[in-house]
Amino acid sequence: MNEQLSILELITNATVVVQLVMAILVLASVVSWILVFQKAFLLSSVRRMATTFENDFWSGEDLRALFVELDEGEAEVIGLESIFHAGFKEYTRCSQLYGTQVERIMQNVQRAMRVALAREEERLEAALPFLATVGSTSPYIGLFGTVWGIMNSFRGLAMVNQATLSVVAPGISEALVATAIGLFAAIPAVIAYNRFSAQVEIMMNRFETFSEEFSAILNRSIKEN
Amino acid sequence: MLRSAILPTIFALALHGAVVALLLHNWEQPLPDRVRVEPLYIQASVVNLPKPNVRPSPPKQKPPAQVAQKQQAGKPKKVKPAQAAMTESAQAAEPDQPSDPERTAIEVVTPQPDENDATQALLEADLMRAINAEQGARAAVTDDERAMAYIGQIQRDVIQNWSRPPSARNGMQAILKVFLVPTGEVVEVQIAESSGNAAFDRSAMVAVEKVHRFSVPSESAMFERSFREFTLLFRPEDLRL
Repeated sequence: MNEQLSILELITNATVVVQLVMAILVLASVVSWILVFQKAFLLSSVRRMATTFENDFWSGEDLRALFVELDEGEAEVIGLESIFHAGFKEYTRCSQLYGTQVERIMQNVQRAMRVALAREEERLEAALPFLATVGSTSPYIGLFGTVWGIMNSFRGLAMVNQATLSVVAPGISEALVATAIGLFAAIPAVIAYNRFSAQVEIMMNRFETFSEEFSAILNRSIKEN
Repeated sequence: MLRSAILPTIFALALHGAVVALLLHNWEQPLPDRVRVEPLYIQASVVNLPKPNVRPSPPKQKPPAQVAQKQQAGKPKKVKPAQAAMTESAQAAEPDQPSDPERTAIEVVTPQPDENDATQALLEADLMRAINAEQGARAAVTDDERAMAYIGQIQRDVIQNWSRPPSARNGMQAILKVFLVPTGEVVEVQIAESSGNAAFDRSAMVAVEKVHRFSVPSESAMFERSFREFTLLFRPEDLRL
């Protein structure tokens, strides 16, 4: 063992258990970053689409035309649009069925929008639990690798006659790499989890507000008819 | 769903690749600066470099080379000066040796070849040595380094087994001559220079006998040169009195 201890050498010289731990952690880190990017893209596109849709919605355009546009469009209907879509679809159906029975129509419309809302929430919150898991467990996994490596390095120390720091130091350093990787995986995951759950909550509030407003508008339009 | 995962995957992998590259790159940067400070090996040439061969006049007229000459002039009371020189050299040579808990000095002194006919033999020997030193510098370096490692181990072994009597005082010193067989076992211990305190001398001898078997190099050449017989200096340095 000379001074040329690169991290790469440390990793390749590590025991199988430590290497396994490192592999798991690297995998967790990669997957969590994939999810982070995916989520960031999804959230930003949902926010952007919600803004444009709200602009369209409050511009005084005919709601039926808006609905037809959504219904026949190619793109997948997500976010605010899907809530509007579900609500309006239910409204047209029920108004044919029940005529002017405001209570029943509104009940069904609200139920349909709640369902759509739940779906959207599910979509936005998908993968957040994984980030939380990576954030909370990967330091422990790394710690396990470290403890195992240090255990081994001390066991090796017991067999050497002449105990010097340079006998144990590489083992400990190699073991500590596991903790480093664990923290490297955990810190971004925790930050991303907190950030995304806050953003999802804001989006959901916005959706709920919109669905209330929309049902009020529908209610009024039924009564006007 | 699958398609929306492609771009994030690429980003994530690129990020990890960048981190790994950065890590590996930065790690290797500071290394060349601190490669090998070699305090160990300078030693060998220092002992070999008295220069009486330039002027063949008697040794009295050369004050600068005095110490070295004393050492090689082979006076009857030869142990002491040689020991002094080697003591210094041993300490200079091993600055990085872990300081033992009791800060005791036990120096291993390898015997110098006897050269009784001082002036003449000195000339030739020094000339030869200078040439050899230049030619085989590398080999000498590694040999010397390895011998030093064994000497350090012997010191530690002896220190571990040495329990000093209560009558030991700072400044006392005993010099022991130890004879080994090639397996490293001690065959004989003699007191070369007594400390004047029988208990102290006895404790030193017991320490060597307790070790019983030293680790010595397996090559017979190195063993014969430095470890067949050597002297040990016992001198407590950490006592209050």
